[in-house]
Amino acid sequence: MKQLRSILIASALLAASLLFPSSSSSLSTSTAEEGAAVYIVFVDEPVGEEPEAFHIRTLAAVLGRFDFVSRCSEESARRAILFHYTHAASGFAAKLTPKQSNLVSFKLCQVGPTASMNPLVVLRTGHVRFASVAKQETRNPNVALMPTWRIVTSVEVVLGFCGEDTVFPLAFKTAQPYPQGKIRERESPSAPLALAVTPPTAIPNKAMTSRWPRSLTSALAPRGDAPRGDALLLLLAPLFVLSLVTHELSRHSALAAHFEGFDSDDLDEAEDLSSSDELPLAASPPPPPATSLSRSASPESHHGPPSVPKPPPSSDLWDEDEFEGIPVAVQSADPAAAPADQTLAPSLPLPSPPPPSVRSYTTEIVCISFLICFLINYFTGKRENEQIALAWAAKFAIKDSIFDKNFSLLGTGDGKDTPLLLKEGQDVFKFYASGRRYCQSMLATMEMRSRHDLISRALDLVFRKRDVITFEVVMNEDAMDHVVLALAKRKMAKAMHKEERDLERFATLGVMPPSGRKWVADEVLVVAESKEVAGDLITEVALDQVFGDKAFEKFGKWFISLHFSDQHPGSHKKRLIFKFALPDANNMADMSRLVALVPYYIDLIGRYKLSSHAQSKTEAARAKATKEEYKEQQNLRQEAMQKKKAEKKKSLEEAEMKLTAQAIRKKEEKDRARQLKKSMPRVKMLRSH
Amino acid sequence: MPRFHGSTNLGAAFCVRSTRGAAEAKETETGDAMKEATSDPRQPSTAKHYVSPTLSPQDLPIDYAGFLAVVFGVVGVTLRYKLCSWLAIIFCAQSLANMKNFENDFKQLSMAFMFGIMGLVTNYLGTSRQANKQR
Repeated sequence: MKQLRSILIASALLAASLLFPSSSSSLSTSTAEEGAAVYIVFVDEPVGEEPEAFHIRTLAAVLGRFDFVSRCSEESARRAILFHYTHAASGFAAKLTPKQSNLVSFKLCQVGPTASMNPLVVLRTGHVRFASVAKQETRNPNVALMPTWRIVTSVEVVLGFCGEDTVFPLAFKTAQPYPQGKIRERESPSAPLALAVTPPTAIPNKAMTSRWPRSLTSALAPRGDAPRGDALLLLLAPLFVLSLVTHELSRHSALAAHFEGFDSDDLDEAEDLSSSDELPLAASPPPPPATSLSRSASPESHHGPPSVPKPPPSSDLWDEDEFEGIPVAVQSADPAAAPADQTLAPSLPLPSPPPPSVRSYTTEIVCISFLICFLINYFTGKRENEQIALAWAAKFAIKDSIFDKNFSLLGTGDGKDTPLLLKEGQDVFKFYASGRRYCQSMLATMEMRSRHDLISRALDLVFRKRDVITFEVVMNEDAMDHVVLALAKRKMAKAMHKEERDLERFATLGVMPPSGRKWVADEVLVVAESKEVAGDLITEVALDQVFGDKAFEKFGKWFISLHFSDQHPGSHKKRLIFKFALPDANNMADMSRLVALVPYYIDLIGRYKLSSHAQSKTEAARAKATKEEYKEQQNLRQEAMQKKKAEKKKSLEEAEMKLTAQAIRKKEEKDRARQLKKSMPRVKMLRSH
Repeated sequence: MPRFHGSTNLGAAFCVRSTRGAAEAKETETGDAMKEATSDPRQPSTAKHYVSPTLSPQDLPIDYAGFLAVVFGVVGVTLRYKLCSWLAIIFCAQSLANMKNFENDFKQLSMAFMFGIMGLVTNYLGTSRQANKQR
């Protein structure tokens, strides 16, 4: 992010340097010496002083040391300064010779640490001599201009720009550990600096001018510039074209070779960052061909700034080491001065970038926050489910609890220390028990609501669901007589009678007691094979404990259904199935009577023997059923056979159809020949000797 | 002293036995508790270990979330709706949360996830590139 911001500032300054010196080049010609170039020097905003005067004083202090001939350094400074930047940033553009420029930066750096004058940036539009360009003719069409800018002292940013087919070499150098806190402090988070770093096209001036976003230019446009806008633009066009084609290739490509560019992926990263941070940064220029793409081994960050670009060869006074170790005082453009409503050249055809509003990211914000909620809910819901299951296990499956007293093997594992519960997914828990008389095994399956899934949870609000525990007891083959019995609330019982095959075939709905006996609560319907079975299995105890009117009021809400049958479909025919709703983790004791039904009914049914009369009846029914089943199966088998036959026939026919006409003809001929042969009288010839 | 001690011991044992028998008789008579009071119902010899049922992939409940994720992912990629791609990612998360059989479901899920990510990448990086060209 820091880098990105720096790039933004860099390019903004570049843009400014391209725009304003050109306009001023027509005005000032007197100081045009050989080797002079336009520099933009950024300084801290002066306190209690006119910025113009401050700038002149600053430069004069430097030039005074240098300019021995004209003693009046203030006058020469005034002449050298082309423009004052007072709004978005504090600084000035000045035409300086390389020697002077080095002095300026050196001087500024030296004064830097003091509070009064912290040099921010020296932006150098080196080697673009706009004044002289117009008179030169085309010598090298390849290289246009090489503006560079740097943050003086330990941070150095060089932004190069050359050629029709090449791009900005961008480079960063951090000689010193970045004073992070300081920079962050000073950077304005809301500075609407925008920029389009774009690869130059064949007509770069057009491309450039049209690509600078409005906010940038507005941020950097001087306040008195409005009337000059048109002239500026007219000037810009030919100047840029000429500047592109006139300069010597050797010099600039040599220069460019010293700059270390960003890798293209670095720029991509920058782009990503910008999009995430709602900055309308546009493009990533392809890496410059003439630059080496090495990266610095700086440990600061993943894409730390690459190593130092060598100083431009034109400045022989430049000393790398002098600028190291000097504390940086980086200051971005003043946020207060930056807003886009500043006066700007009105005729500049600048497209305004789409304003980065929060609304355009609504989808992303909503989706990401939903994902975060989902993740949080996943863990909390998972824990809730686990807590319920553990509460159940703690109540009914630990030592000296009801299942421990009834079964010799608890849990799904074989060892002693195996966990009692088996978890399947996040919402299904299984408890297995075995080793009891009359039954082979018991499997309790707890199906919780999908609390871990936010979407299902939301759906649960509409379609109420409950946590259900299903006990499935597989009875021993010899321990269960012919029993078909189901018990459920009215609606549920009707549905079960329709859906369950064994109930539909053997049992009748709404069985009443044999003789004026106390019977189950009104809400409950009994589905049984006969009155006898129902009367014998729904005992007084069961009525008293659970199914009677009084008890059911209390326990009815946890009861869902019972289903005992010796005719269950599947490998184990004789099964007892109990379905109860689970109370929440704190009220597990509420269902202890219901759970007690499980061993009670295992024993009851294990011992139960039908009377001989009923036995014969049920046996007849079962024989009939098996007969029907057999018949059905046979029918199915026959149907399958017929289908197979039909398919075979069809395939044969198809094969025949596939035969070519020729083959058919041949076959017909053969047939005819055979028939002819048949119709001919058989003559036996005997050879007479 | 030892004689006396011995006799009381015997008496106590008898006493205990008799009361236990009485309690049994009482429980079988009234049957107010549903527990079997006669003897220990446990039979360790008949204990069978748990065998997890083998489920064929067809019997598994349909993974609607995974299916929706694939649909949204494909729509997001082809029609370049970023909302669809986001929905695909969300349904991926749901499917992942509900996953029971890791090996079976992961193939489908990873495909849906790839679609979702691809849609997002083309959406965000693609459009920014386009916008740049326009500018």
